[in-house]
Amino acid sequence: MSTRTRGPAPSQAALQKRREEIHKRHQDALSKVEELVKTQDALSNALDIELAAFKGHEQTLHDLEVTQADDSMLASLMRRFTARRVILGRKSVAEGLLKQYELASLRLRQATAFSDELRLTALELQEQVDALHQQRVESAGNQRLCAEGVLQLEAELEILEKGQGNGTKGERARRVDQLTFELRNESLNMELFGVAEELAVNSLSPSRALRDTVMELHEGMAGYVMNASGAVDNAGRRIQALGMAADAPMVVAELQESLLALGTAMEVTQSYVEQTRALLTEVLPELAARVKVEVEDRNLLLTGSVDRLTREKSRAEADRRLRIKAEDEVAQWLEEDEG
Amino acid sequence: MTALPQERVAGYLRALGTALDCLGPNQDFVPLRECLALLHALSPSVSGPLMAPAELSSVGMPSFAWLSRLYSEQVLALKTDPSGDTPQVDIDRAMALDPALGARVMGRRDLHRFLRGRGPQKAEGLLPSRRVFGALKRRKPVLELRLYFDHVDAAGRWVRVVVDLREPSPSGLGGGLIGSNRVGPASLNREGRVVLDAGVLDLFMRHAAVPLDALHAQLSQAFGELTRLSRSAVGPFWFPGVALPPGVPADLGQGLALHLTTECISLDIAASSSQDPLFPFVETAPGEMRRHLGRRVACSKGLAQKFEDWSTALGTRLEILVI
Repeated sequence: MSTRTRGPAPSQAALQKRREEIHKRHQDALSKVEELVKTQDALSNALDIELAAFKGHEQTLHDLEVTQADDSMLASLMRRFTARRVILGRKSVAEGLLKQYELASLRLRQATAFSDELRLTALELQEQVDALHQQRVESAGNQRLCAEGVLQLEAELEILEKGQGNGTKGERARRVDQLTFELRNESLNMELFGVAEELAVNSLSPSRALRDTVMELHEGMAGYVMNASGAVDNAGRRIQALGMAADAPMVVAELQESLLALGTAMEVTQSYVEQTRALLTEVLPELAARVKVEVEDRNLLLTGSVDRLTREKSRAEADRRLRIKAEDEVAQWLEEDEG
Repeated sequence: MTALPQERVAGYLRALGTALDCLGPNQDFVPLRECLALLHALSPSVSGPLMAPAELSSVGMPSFAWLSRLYSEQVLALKTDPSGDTPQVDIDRAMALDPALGARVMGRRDLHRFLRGRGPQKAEGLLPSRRVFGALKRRKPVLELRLYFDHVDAAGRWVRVVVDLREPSPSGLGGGLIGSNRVGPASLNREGRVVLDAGVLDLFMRHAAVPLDALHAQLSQAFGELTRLSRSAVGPFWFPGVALPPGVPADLGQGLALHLTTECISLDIAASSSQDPLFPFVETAPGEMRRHLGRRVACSKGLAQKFEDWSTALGTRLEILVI
């Protein structure tokens, strides 16, 4: 028999409470993930629009070039008469580009903050997955100790029931009653630990699915922010470096070139928008369904089995559980050995 | 573009702030208080690692990208309600799960709290990336206005252009009436505030970097008579690792040195002169104006004599202050 001390068995009420807590956590996480996906969708859409507007300045630059290249007599006459109005009426390309750069840059900072939020949520969900593993391992260990206890009590009882053992007949009868009580108690505990283990195992799948969804969001967002930031920063630097003389035709071409870099960022954004759409339309409904099934499964759990325990059943169950645990151990050992 | 190691950021910002404070720039320069608030906001003591990477421009000033991140955070801070700040319990949780993430979340909250008190209209505001505004200089005998254009230039220096305008004489081309409240695209409103027509910011953005005489020509076309025009910059900030301009002795880069430079053309200057060892030759100014070039430096003690020698050798009078 193991020398490990068994932890206190959870009551049915405690298991029920744990079940509700896990479910609530999953529901909360699901709502949060839904919210995160929607935010992500809005953010990437907005950035896509802003990058497109930023890139749209290419045309402005082109038009400016055409205007400046207009050397006709009429154009030069008009310039003389309308000089002041024209001077003040002309937009600075640099100013227009800087404004658009600032908008894109602002959106990227929002995306960076959002990426941190995703990371935190993913870590919290991973912590929940870890806690479920821990619960599963503890429950399985306790269940095993209970099974060993059941078999030991059963062996003692068999000896006493055969009329063997020390003490008077009255003392033996008292001992039989005591052992019978302990046996039923330990059998019940074994069942409760079994239910706790099952609860942890069943909860793992939706927890993992939620965590993986958020991780997917985070990985996508982090990579996307990095990509877009690089392109936007590059354009920003060139605008800043060239900007003050941006109206000079000789630098217009260079500015146009710098905006081309935004094309890559836009492609990334568009594929990202599609990815987020897929999350909204496919992954989220599936997650919601999983959490719902989890509740239904759990409602089946805990009912019935614990209060119909007989000695034969307990013994057979203890044997079965120890066998399963032993098989698990062998399988694990083999896996490690192969690894 | 140079990236500063995170552990050197606070020291760099402190040195730049101290040098600037020591020089005490006047109204020809961007406001000292706003500069110091900007440097403080960039500091890891306020925002932790949130503003990283700290990048420097070629003249040793905070880079455009670094400042842009701060300006974006400022917009976000002013848009969000303080009640939406991340609670301490969430920060503690983030710290426990991932210290680097926790530090960023805390940095964001602290920076936003700091920035909320320093919006564009606040006395303790940050130096903005660019702005244009006007002030009344004199109302009689003729209306005189002063326009300011502040911006971060292509090299990363913090530049202010100051334009003094005078109400044109009735006979002047494009002139108005004596006693009117308008000079070119600038006018006085009923509260005595100067209101600028649309397009003035674009005008400055287009021409602020051109040689001062060309800027004078452009502004004269738009505004009429200019009596004074100055362009003054905070920066460069030399320290080991920053490339010095050609012709500058290499040992001037062996310590800290923040420069304030001014180029001014005005009717009030008696004689043109240059006290700037980087540009010791004086060119003529447009019309009856005279030109002045000046440079002031706040440097570490060991550099003071070297700057003095450099300036003297070039026949200029560089103003040197020891940090």
